[in-house]
Amino acid sequence: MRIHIESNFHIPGIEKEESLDFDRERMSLRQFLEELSTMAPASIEYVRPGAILLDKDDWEVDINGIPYQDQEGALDHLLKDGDTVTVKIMTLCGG
Amino acid sequence: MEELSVVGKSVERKDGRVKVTGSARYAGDLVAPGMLHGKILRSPVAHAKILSIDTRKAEALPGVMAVITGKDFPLKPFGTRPDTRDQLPMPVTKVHHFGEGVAAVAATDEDTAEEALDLIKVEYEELPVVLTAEDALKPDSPPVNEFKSNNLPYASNFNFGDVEKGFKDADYIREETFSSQRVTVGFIEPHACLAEVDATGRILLQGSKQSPYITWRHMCRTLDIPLTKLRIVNPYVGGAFSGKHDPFDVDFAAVRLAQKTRRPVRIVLNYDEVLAAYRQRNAMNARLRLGVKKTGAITALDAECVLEGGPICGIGPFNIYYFGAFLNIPYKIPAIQYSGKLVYSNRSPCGTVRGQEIVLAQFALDSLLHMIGGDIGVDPVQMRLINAVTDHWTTANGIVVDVSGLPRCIEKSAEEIKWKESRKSRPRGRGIGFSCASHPSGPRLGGHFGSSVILKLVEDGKVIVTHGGTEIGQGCNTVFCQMVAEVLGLPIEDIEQGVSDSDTTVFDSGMFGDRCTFWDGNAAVLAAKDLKKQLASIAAKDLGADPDALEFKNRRIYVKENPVKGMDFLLAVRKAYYEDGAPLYGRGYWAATDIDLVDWKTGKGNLAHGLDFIATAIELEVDEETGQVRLLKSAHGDDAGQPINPLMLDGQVLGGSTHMMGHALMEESLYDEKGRALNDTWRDYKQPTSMDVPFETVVEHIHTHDPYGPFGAKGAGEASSCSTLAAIANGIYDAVGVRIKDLPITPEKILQALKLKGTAKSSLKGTVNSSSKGTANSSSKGTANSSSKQKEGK
Repeated sequence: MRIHIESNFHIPGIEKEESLDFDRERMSLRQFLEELSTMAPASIEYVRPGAILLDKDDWEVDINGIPYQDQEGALDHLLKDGDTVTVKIMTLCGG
Repeated sequence: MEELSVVGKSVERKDGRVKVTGSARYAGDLVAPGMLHGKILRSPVAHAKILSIDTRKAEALPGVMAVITGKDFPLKPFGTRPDTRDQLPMPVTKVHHFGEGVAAVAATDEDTAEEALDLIKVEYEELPVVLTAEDALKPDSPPVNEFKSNNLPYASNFNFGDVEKGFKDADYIREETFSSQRVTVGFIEPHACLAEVDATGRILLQGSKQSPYITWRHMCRTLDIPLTKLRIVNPYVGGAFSGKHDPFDVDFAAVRLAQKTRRPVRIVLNYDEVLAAYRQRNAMNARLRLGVKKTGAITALDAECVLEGGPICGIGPFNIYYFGAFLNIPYKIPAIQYSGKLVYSNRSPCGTVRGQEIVLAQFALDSLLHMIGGDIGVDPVQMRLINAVTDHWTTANGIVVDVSGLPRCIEKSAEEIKWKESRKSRPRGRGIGFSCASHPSGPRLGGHFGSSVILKLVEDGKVIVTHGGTEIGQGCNTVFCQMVAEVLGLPIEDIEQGVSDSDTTVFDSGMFGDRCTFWDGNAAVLAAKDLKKQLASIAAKDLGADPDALEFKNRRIYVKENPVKGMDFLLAVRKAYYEDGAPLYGRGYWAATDIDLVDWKTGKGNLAHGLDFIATAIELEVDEETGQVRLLKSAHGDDAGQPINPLMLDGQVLGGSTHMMGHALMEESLYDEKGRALNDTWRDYKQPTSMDVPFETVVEHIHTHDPYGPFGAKGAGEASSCSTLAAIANGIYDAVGVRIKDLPITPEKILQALKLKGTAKSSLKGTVNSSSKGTANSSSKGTANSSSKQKEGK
């Protein structure tokens, strides 16, 4: 299955990719984000182990333009081939 | 335009008297019953594995109540972005810089705490140190931070406009390199805090914090507690300048020690600890290539920047962004390409300093602009006027300028410094330098970003203001009181500033980027209007008038068209409390919701409304025998929109400029080859005093009216930091014809450059010879495009 990716930052490990291909037929959003963590060259946590929701202070994630919380199953929503996942980073700083 | 009674007046600062009489209570002055004193043990090495920490002897010392190390905290790193978290409250497996806190002690008195530190035994295994950006980028460079596999934790590449075409269209192109040193932040009050834990386990932290929100959020995440379990109250803060956003080991240690002992714990650092081991400005290496038309109009810019930021990312990714983003302004540059890299090292951790890395970008850009102007024969003032950003301008990276007073700022600074007159005749060794800058009035970066203000109108008719900003010396408490007084028609004496407390205040996202006057100011105006509406409704009933037809002035509420028909302001307040039983609260919030967020991948986006502008001219004198620079006069044309408090605005402009005079000429945090701090005392680390700054200073307020700003005001205080470095560098060149591109511009560097040019005093006769001017840096490269001949190498 192919998942398209959009973001407002360079996702570590897949900076130049616009989509990712997986050798499986189904995959939850949680599994997808865990895959992103494994692709990163350094430690980056999208999903806290066992969490029901993402840390709202860290990430905003949409599936096909709809917030993942509003999708059936939320983090355990099953992605399908051709879905677009948007991962936006949240910041905590000023200058 | 409506006549203003309180806004636009230089009323006395609300905190002025308590500060100058020494009665203001800062974090280090706070005491609590049963309070313990905390001290931090610091690493004597810059890079090492921690093999073991033995605290048993210290714990056994009478009077010692607790000892902690990094292992007393959850192993949850924190950082400004979820992809750059690389910092723990205290280190566990390795130390990253000289002076890093490795353990902390709480004891019944300071001496016992100090003695206990000597009893803690830490076994280190030293590692090779990484000191410079060049070292960090070597393939075999030892990784500095255990959360990252190499020493390049962040990089950005931006491309705005058609750069290739821009350079093709240029008549003249010049490329230069610039560098800047490590400097300390420079606030007066060292880091300090008092932590207490109540019977329910709830923590109260009172610290010297610039951005309590940032501290609050980072600490709760790292300690793994909900936000409601930590209360932060801000006492007076003795300056911050971007050096007190984050939580430090001081804060974490005080909290953990208080939790362990169930007693209040206060930690107050010595200043040598601050100079050795806390936030500094990044060291910078940059390369800029600028193309211009014969007229001086810029066609394209190609820039690279490497920032060495110590062992953490911290705010570094935003420093990288700011450097590239603000090359787009204050000059009209149609096309820019930019590459920025942040690298780790084993020097002290960096944050940023007043003006953020716009300061460094502007130093490079405005120095290069001056050099090119000289090459193509365009006067420095004209060079800036040709390129100055004007009203309704959108930069190549998407920043929207509504109102720009920059052209008038340039003209005014030139007039005040007597630029034209100086070209006819000037004493030997004297010169004038210019630079301009722009700064946003508070960036919107995502996440929580609004500002809110709550007003409580007390039954005696006086108002208490509570806002989410932080008074760090910039005068925000006073300007908010002025705005509220103006809206409610009250004298400034009737407005009091309340306490900044996370239990009752919705903190701003942070106190940074010239945001306070603009964002919280708008919220203050809206809160006052909310209160005004409630009072108007009460008064209208009595006066038999339309609430919208009422005017508030001189503690009275009256019908605008018939001023004799009115009532005392206090009477309306009492009617609310005594007849309706209704409390009077005004609530206002403001956020720039209509701007695009920055896309961190491309650097595109509109960051803020209310771009403020400045043009700085500095006249100076160079002693050609000693290389000493004496600053004689500074003249700033400053566009901060409508000045709310002109005297305080002067203070902000001059303060920002003075701050960077030290950066330009004398300050530098020095390290030995093992990464140990060499000048961590005020005796050895030189900052400018009143003897080092210009005797004559002029701030000309260029009044503009920002459509989004409260009363038309913009932010202020950081633009002058951004315009000062290049003004000094350009002034030195104008004075003696040597171009120093490596900060600080010390007497030694000037003398060496004079020697290299063969223009040392002994060989000079008469006036400055403009034809012999040039740069003393071999990396310089200037070329005339197409048919013109190369102009460098005079």
